[in-house]
Amino acid sequence: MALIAVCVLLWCTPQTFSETKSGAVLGGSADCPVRIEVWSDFECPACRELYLGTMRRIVQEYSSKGKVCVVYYEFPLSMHKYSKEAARYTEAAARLNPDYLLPLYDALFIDQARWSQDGSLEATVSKVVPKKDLQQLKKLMHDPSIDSAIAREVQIGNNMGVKSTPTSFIYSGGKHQKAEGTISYIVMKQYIDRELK
Amino acid sequence: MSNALLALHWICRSVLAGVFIYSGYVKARATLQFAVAITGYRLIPDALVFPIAEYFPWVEIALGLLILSGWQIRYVAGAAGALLLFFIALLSTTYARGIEAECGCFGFGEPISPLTLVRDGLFLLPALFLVFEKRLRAGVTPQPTAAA
Repeated sequence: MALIAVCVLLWCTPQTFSETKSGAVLGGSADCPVRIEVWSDFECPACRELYLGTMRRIVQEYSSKGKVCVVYYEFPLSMHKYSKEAARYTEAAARLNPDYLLPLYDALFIDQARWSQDGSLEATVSKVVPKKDLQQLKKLMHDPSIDSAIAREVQIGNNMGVKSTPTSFIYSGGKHQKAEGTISYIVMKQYIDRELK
Repeated sequence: MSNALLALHWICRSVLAGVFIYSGYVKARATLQFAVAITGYRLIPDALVFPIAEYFPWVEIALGLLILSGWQIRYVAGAAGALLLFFIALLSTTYARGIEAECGCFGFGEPISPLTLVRDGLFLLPALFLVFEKRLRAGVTPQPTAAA
């Protein structure tokens, strides 16, 4: 009976989390009942699968209706040669014009196989950012505050126990679930639908 | 001898119950991570993954509690043993197919390996003891001899 009581108590105790104000909001707002935070690396194949196969659809189907807020955080892994530069591009693009963010995420993940081999990030970025803004973007990327922002997101991830990418935290009803690895769209959808009931 | 068998009975019941309750508890606390682990086996259709992840841990906890209660222990231990055999078969085939997947047995982040398969196999022993205990007792209990 004591064992059962301990289990029930531990189960009922809500897990706390720290509110973070950084990160790239890809869809939804702070008012959404479900919040998904993803620590991601642009050069990581599993992150690509999660973004293109799941999160992109969640943004389209749930964020647009104010139900789910999706926030991405940079967590470039040292083993990936170009991931930090990709992170710099998206941080800078978000500051230049937030409307560039989602198309840039799409382009970077879709073209991942190519630029991760030859480093041709600018070619991918130029598909989204027009020429008139590209020079300003490249200048902004090398602002020290960009690297600071990325380092801050990595530190937050480390503090939250992120050890690999992608790592997702889904918050709803005062509790959260952590998941490492790719979550299929159907599983994520079923989980969100349960939380929204 | 019967005292030794009684002690062994309680050890086996406690270990087996503890294994199932703990395993179910860990999975029930991390439904989404368990769903990711199930997806990794590449055997279960996507539509079934989340329902299994949501409800199966409670089956494990219920089984563990039944073992602890001692109710119909031979049959409940038999069900536990069958479930363990199913897990071992599932993990073995996943490993044999060369798929890198999580064990998901007592937590996450542990890949399937020969070690995890052996460990899960060892948990069969208390289940088998509890199933065949009655026969073991009959074997060691001296039979009364006919009066001269």
